[in-house]
Amino acid sequence: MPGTFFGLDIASTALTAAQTMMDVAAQNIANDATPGYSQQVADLVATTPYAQPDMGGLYTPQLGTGVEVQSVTRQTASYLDSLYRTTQSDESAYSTRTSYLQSLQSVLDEPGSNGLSAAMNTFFSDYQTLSQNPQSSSARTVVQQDAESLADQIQEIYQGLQSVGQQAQNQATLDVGTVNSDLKQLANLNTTISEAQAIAQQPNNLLDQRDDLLNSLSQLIGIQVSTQTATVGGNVTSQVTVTMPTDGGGAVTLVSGGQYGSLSVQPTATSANTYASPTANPAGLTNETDTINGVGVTISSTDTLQDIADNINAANAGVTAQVVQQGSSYQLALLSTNGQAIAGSGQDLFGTASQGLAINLGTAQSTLAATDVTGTSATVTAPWTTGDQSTVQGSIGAAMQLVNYDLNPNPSTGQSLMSEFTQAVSALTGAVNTQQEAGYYLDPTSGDWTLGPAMFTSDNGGALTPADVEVNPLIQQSGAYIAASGALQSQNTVASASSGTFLASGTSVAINGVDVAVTGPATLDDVVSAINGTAGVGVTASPVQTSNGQYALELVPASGQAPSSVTGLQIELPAAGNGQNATAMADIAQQQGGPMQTYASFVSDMGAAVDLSQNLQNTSQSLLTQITSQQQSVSGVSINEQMTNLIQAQAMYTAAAQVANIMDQSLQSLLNAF
Amino acid sequence: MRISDQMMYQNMAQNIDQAQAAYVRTSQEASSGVSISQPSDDPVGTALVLQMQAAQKQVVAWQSNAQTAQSQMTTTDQALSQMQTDLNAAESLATGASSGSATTSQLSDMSQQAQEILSDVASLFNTQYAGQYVFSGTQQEKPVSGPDSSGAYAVSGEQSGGQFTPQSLEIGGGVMIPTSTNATSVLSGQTFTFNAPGQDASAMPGWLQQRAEALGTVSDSSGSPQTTSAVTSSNPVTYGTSLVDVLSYLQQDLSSGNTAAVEADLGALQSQGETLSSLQATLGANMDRVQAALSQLQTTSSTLQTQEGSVEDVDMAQIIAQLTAQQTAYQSAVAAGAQMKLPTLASYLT
Repeated sequence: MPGTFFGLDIASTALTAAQTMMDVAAQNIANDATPGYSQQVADLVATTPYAQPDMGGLYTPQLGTGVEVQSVTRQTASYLDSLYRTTQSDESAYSTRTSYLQSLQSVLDEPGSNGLSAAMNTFFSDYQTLSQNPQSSSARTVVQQDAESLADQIQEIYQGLQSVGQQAQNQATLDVGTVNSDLKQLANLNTTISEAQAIAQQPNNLLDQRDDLLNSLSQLIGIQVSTQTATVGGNVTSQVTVTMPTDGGGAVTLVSGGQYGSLSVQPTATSANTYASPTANPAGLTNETDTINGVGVTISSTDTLQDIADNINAANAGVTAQVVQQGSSYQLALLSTNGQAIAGSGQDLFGTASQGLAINLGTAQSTLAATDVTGTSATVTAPWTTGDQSTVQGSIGAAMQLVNYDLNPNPSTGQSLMSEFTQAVSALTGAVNTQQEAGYYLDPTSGDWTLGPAMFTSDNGGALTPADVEVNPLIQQSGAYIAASGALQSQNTVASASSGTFLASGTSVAINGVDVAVTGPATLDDVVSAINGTAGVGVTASPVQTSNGQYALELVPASGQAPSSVTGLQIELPAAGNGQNATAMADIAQQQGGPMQTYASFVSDMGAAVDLSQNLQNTSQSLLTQITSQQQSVSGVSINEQMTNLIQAQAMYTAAAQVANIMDQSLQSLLNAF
Repeated sequence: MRISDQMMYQNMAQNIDQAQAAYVRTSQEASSGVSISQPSDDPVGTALVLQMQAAQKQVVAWQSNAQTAQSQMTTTDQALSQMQTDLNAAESLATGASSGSATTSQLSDMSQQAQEILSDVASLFNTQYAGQYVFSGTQQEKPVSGPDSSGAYAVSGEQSGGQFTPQSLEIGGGVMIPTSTNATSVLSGQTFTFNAPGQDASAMPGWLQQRAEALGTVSDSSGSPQTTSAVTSSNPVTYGTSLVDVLSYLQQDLSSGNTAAVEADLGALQSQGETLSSLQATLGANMDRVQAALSQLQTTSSTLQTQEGSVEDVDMAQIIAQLTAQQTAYQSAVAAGAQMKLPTLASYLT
């Protein structure tokens, strides 16, 4: 038999529950605009009923005892949360990538009158002007000046592209700092939440905070989140574990329970040359001492790859050296341990591009390293890791992608935007140098006809790269060294080199005053072999096909100096007024697959990369919007819904108060009876 | 499905952003008139534009080459015409002298006039265009002829050896036009040297034989021309057939009053005149080629411009229509946003 005040007690539980409902609605409305806030709901349950065995009968009747708010829970959908984080990683990666690629694109300044394309056009059309008046020193000066500005522009573009890489690397370093502080906070929240849950509390705000941190972390890196539950004293606690995939196919655990790991960006420099094993002795190594970050490191010519790595590590120069495997070959990689770019003596450490190790310190490369929750180090992504792209997502992933795959040759394909640029530049310098070296100029000091020197050389004496291209100092000094005249070709031609009469009957040949043992009639091939078989002529002869399909005889001076006399061959010694080589140089502009086309396809590929990235960004953005809508429809606050809840709670409160009043009146009437 | 307030506001902001971005992009195209302002706008179009710009630049260079060639050829043509005039004057001198009616002093005057014609022709061979000797082929920095140490006119440089390479300029893809005229046929003739009596002189052209006979160095009495006893190793004679030779023979023969020799010279002058005419005809044909190339290049240039425009330029009518549509879309998005302060249930509760 329930007590006299039983009814009042029931009304009282209803009043309390209604008040809690109103409080929850108020809290929801208050956090309508709070980022990361999930709408909360008061879960009402009927309280444990009261059994009345004394009522008799077959069954023991139970009497309800009222209502209570069992818990206030957040409305979330973990499936949408993880989808949201993945999509956000993608969206953040693509939008960051788009902005980096747009910076690269703006360095080119194409199409327009300021780009490299316009500079190349000007350079080649200067040669047409030179062909009109090959001995004009002003026409030569124009070619020389425009060649210099072409070389300058190539260097500027190269540095501009590299500096975007440096910026991306710096941004990644800053972002990694944020990641590390987020990881620490997540571990702390894990601890606090599980402690609260262990004593049957529902830490909704902390749970929201943790979700929000996971979301902001997923903007920076791609993460996988799993929830571990445990039962402590009958209460269920939950902790999140955060892992990140690595390029090797593994994963690094960054947060587990109250433990957390960290990430670091290590500016990296890799040797240009590769070797068959870590114990190989790099060819071309010399005994030398080079400085890394101001610390001298000495190597000997007999050192193996591993010996050099050990020497560098022993020197404590702020770098870690390691022998890394790329495919079936090995390289030496230097990883900065202080986050700063590695400084050293010369661009190429321990050798030049063609020999020795040649570690290029001038290019931006990055390794993303992780220390997991147990303190074990792991490489997340590195420039030498084979693959088409970094597995790292988010804005840090985009920076790694740019630095290691777009600005350095992709380890899988060997191709990248930067290597396309390098190829376009070497197509230009190669074609121009070959043509210049095939032509003749009148040496201003000796007065001899001489084969031209290279137009473009490296300013550090090494191999020619976009970083160090310059106009040959000889040509900078005087435009006279520009080879405007054509090769030594005979005027008379024959339809076939091996038959017919090239040398007329009775004609004898002498070159540089030396008689050649051939008399006409003779075929072109006979004359060629006779000249090449005669000692002291100072030239090499070869048959060449002319533009009309005929064959002529060409003489290439062995010493680079044109012969002083040629008789019997109808070979005109080159003259300043012969602009043949200038015309041939200008024709490079129209060459199929020549430098202009190579460069245009590089610009086109750059544009396509930006376009693709923009499209992917748009796609992931609309996907993100869609998921956000779905998430909002589960976790967002609806004022209408909350107002309805309020009205409901108010009605319940009013009704429960009325119940209490009636109970009171009933008791009153009972008391009045006495 | 629950519609949260956040959702509405986020969607509104996003829609306005998108409408604005599209509007700004189109207005940029409309104001610049160019649809490709960076490679990503149209990667394939960019490569085309770059290649067409290179082709355009090349055409401009070829046009410049063709104009230079035209000017140089015009200069050459003028020089050749002047030489014809000089030859005509020389012919009338020779005709006058060969009639035999001229007095010694008249012949002396004529000889002086012939000397002037010779100097004029010699200097015409050294005609320059923009500092280049037009008859020197690729050796443009060297003059063709000049008085040598003995005062006689000599042909120097490659023209004397019969090796001549015309200076050529490119006026189209692989199309070379010779800009200099090969005048070796009038500049350097054959040379005949005799240093003993009885040498065979039959290789000499008819007019030269005739002249040698008039001078008494060759005799045809035996039926085949041979040198006479006037030619010895201590008194050798050299005869040439070049235009300069002919003119100097005329001057010498007028000066000596040898009318028979002058008659022989007259024949030579006429044949040299014909050779000059054929040089002018060849030159004229080349000038026609250059003229044709120039108008062809003009067509190519405007075709390239049209093509580049079709890739790079915006269609104004279309872009303005698009701009208007996007402006409307943007205004609607903003207006809709302003209207979005929807009442909630809270508005009606009192």
